[in-house]
Amino acid sequence: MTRPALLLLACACAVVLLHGLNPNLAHAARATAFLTLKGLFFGSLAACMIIAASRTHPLVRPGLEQLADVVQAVPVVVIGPLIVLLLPLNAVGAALAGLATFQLAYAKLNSALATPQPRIDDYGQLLAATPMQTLLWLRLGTLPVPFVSALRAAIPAALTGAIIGEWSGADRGLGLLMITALQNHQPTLLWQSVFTTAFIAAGLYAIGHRVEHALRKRFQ
Amino acid sequence: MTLIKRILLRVWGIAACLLIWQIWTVESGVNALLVPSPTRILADILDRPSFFLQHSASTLGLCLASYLTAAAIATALGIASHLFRPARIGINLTILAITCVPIVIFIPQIILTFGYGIEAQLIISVLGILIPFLSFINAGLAKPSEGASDLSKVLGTRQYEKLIYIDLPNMIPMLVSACARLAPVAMLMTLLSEFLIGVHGLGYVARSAAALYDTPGAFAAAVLATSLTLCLRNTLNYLEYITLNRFS
Repeated sequence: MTRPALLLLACACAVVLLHGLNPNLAHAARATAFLTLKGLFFGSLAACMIIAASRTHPLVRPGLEQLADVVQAVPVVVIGPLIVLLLPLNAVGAALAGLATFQLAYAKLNSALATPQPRIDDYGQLLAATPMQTLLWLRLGTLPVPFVSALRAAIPAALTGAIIGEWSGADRGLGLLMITALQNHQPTLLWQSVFTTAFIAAGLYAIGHRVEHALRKRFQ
Repeated sequence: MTLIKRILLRVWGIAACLLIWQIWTVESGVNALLVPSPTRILADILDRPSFFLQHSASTLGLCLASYLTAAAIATALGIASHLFRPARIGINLTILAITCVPIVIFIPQIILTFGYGIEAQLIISVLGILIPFLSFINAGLAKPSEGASDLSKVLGTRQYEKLIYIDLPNMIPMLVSACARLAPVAMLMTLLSEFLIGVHGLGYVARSAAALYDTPGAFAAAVLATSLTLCLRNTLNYLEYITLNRFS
């Protein structure tokens, strides 16, 4: 059994032992997990699009990299209260999870692509491939493992973004439950929310770990 | 390529975003309470510079305090795990468990235990960077220079002498690298602690301004927090560059 799976089991036991299965907790957990997955999807999509544009168009690359550099430094917590004004309440968590995912996935994917691969690069030069052709036909096949690795690393960040989004303003979710428990002085509910969040994080991490392991075996 | 062209190539992305934002807010007539224009945000910062300067200094001070505290605790724990096997097992297990769980979930429990004071703020800020700091320090202590290690064996140095004269100086580059890598996380956790329980700092300004519908103020806090993170990260990156050159 892998370590994330062990942690998953420990968190599940802790949640059940604390108070049995609470239906409110299940609803909140579903909402938070859904926001996290949405954030992971849109954040990684944005990172892939920016990286693809900057790698295939050398002229726009310095400007896009500078822009991404600034976006990476935006603290999600100060953006939360502003996103609440612009987006519906149920989208705030997903937006912040997406931003947090982008910050990590962009850095990881960019560094994976920046690592020189002499055989592939030489082959591309020999065939006089354009940057677009090099990325699509030669480098794309090397990216599944770094992509899943980046997504796995971004899971805690995305969950952090989703919870901060729920703290900033949301109508459901584990973050909201935590704040309610804190304000009403309900330590049991607070611990239940904490362990449920840890359970979601460990579950997603275990899935990412398993997929990455399978891909690594297939591609290397 | 001329200097101006090189600068233009680097800043066109940010400039285009700001321009589109400015034109959209002016042309669409969107309420300034909802989305103020970039010029309005800049005017707000210039209108009350001392207010923003005071809160930025407060955020930076707390962030640096959390850096120092986290570095001291992580170094102590790193040395303990380097010298004692049971401590190493326990610390490594904690690092593994924390790697896949977001640390923010423990914040409400910290607030419940330590209250709403500056101590709780410092604990939140330190907790966010302590475990990553510890990973860097463990890595730094785990790979001493081979020549020095062999020499210490030949000279029959004691364990604490090896620690003071070989392992700790070897760890310094990793400590500086940890500071540089963790700058955005440190700033995020500091702002989060201010956002949740603070009465000073940019995190507090962002929360209170948004609650009072002072949207330009909240945007200004976000802009200043981002600038502060960029400054801190770039300064620490430069410090890392100097340190790595010195120790290589």
